[in-house]
Amino acid sequence: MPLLSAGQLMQYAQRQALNAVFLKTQSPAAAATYMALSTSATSGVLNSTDLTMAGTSINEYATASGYARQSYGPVAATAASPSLIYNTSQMTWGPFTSAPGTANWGICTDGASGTGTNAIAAFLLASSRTPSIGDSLQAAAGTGSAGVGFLAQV
Amino acid sequence: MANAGDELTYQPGHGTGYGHNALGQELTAEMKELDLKPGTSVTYMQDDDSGWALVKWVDDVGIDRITAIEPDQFASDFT
Repeated sequence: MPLLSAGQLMQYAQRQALNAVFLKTQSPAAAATYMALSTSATSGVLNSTDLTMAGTSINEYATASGYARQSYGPVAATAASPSLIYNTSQMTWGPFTSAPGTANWGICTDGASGTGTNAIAAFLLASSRTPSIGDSLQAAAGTGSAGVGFLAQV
Repeated sequence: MANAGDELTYQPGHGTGYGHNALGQELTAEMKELDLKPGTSVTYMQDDDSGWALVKWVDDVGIDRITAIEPDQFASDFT
């Protein structure tokens, strides 16, 4: 079921994870990851088969609003089942110089900018946000509890 | 022309924060705390595909930030 209605790994990351866990390939080298914001509707739009941020279902905020992706900075995956990963710090986007629209999703990717970066995971925001000119948009640091921070689990 | 890693300071002629200037008036107290203020040190990262400059900085509450800056504003307000 490729259409997303809740957070999950995107196709690129599903394949990376399976190939690494089943020892088909080495994992990619450690590197920074970033959290983008998407205006895609909360259901029926975002497609997990979009491999990169160029995907037609991604609908990332425009840079020409002062927006830029923020460092995700997650913890190491927890030694638990299900294993969790989540952001360790608060993240703040903006300040916005024009109204960027309504954000419904956070999308983790492996580059600070550009549409060619890989789409790793999508996170449905607990509540949509529509920042105005001059505003900054904040997301809480994760705690490992569902609904607090950008949390993914396997 | 800036290179990745260059350290610059936000010093706009209008003397107001980046968000304050965009709005054209004082921000709320909460948003003012999160604004990019004159005198803030930034690190140039790269230009986005759109040509806007990405800069890293730390806000008044200690959070690492990345903000996109319009090219002409980057040339005039970051020295």
